[in-house]
Amino acid sequence: MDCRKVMDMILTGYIDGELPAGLKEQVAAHIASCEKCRLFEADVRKIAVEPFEGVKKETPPEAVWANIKAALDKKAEKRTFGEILSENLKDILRVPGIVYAAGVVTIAAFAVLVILNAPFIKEKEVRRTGQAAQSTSQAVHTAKDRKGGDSYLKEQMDFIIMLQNNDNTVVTDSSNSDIGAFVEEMIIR
Amino acid sequence: MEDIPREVVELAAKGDIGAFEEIYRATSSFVYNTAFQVTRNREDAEEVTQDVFLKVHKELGRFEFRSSLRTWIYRIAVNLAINAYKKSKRRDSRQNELDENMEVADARSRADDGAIREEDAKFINSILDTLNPDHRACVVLRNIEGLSYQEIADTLKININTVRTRLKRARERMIEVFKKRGN
Repeated sequence: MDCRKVMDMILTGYIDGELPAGLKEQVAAHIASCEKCRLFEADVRKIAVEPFEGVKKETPPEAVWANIKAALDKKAEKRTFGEILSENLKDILRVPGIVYAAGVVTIAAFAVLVILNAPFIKEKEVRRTGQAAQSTSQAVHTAKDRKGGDSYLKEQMDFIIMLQNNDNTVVTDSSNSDIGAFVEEMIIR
Repeated sequence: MEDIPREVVELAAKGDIGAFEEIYRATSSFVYNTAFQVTRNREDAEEVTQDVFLKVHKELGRFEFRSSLRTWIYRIAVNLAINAYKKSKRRDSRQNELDENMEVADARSRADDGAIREEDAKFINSILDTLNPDHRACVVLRNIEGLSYQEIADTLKININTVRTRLKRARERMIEVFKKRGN
């Protein structure tokens, strides 16, 4: 085994007992037969390991805990609603996945219902119906003015009713009727 | 590293001061010693310890038990200690001189306890000062706190090979400084 590699391992894994068993034995065998590496190992132990062995573990002065406790007590007095909520949010959110899924489905269904019944949609439908009726009415009056006479009007009204779709829009066909041309003209406008 | 029971952590997260004190008693020695060895100043170590536990208290509700609580607390401790050390390096030279005198006094006082020889205490003080904070943290965690390479890697959130490299460089530097001083 190469001395350089052995020295690298002495500096770390060997001295710290972090080498796999087989490798540790190989390094030990090399050290036993190589004076340079033996001296190096002795230096590493003397300089980088042994001086730390007697270091006494201390506990912090009691004043440190007293300061921490005082700071926490002060903070507890000033806790806002938001802080209390955020501290308990984890518990609130700790519910099974199935409950989340059911919640999402309910919200989605509710959202669809709201959208379908939304006032702006109803308003739009009313506007569309109103526009169709207004167009029809205008077309009838215009036709009446142009051609004159109630019998002609009745004939054309029947035709318009035939053209009306279920969705209250008016289907026009200018090739079939004079009034159809007017209705189409009005809707385009 | 034996970890703190989950129930204690959960109680502390809900504001139980008794449970939080239990966490403090179980980990404050590590936090304080590491902070002292990294900052090389007792006052800074006390301040770091205080800051670590206030931060732990604040963040405890968000702790998700993905790592051990000790590892998480030790990580906060090492990071805050390194920051405090960097901040102290920016202090004026007069303050540094004062700190140095306090460190020698600290070393003597600890030596008087018979726990460590005075020359070793002085040597540790002087040798750790020559290491950069990242290397110093690795040496402290390994040589003083006795953490395994894997525990150091988890604590510092670094690769285990980086732990090995930092320890190797730190020890090479210690030997170099020791020999330059003509010991």
